[in-house]
Amino acid sequence: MNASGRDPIAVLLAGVSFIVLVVAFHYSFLRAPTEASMAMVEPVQRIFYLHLPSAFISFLSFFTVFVASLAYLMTRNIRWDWLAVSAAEVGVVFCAVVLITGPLWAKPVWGIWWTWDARLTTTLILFLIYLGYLMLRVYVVEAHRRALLAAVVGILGFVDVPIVYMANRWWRTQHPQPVIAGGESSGLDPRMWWGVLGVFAGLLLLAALLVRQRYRLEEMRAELIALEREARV
Amino acid sequence: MPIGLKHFLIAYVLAWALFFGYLVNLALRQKSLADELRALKDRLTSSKGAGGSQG
Repeated sequence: MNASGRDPIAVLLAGVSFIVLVVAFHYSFLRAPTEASMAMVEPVQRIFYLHLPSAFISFLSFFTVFVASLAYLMTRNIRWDWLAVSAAEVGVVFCAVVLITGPLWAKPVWGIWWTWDARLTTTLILFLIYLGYLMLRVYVVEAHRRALLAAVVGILGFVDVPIVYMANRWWRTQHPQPVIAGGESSGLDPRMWWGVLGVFAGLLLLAALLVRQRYRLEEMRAELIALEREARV
Repeated sequence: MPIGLKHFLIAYVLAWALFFGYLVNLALRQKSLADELRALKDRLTSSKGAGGSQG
């Protein structure tokens, strides 16, 4: 961060993310073909370009929580805890987007907002696990005790991520079949993949910006606590 | 209106409201902490100055 309070890396991430997302959504809405079975409800199918990349980013964020939590337990360096909480908050935001866009896509296609099938239910559980992780942190005051408890929840909570990913492979679900490694009948038109990958890249940059800003908040909090101690002495 | 257009628009508006809302929330939390930090630093500097002049 420079003297004027502007963080040049954050400005760069915001700018590049904006440009990539504008180009990717322009391509996804106007150039990418419509999925054959959804031609009757054409515009709603384009929710896919936000829904799928957001799900990937939430998985990636929770994986970051898992790795940072393990690193904290091994090193007891509080900076790993800062990274874990930053990634958890961003993961919860992206998971909320998945849970909002899913039912809005489902209603015109399935005729229902929600069904308790394996993929939807495990995704809701994933969201609640990391919401619980964030709530737990509010109730524990001492920094290292909070980091220790949160690390345990962050590691155990990650068990649900592969279950969400495999849910529509292991069980029959209302949710569409996987588009990645889902067998012979799965997959996407390559032109649709370009749209998905473009939005994923843009959202990944946005997620990096959000994690960076959230991490900065933890740094500032630590600085404030240290100064308050100094003021008391 | 094409079938599903309303749902499509609501999905994108809500998602972007969530992203921007979170970004603004982070900026506000940072500003509040920066203000607290500045006030505390000023207080510490002035108390050290007062202590120095007394000593």
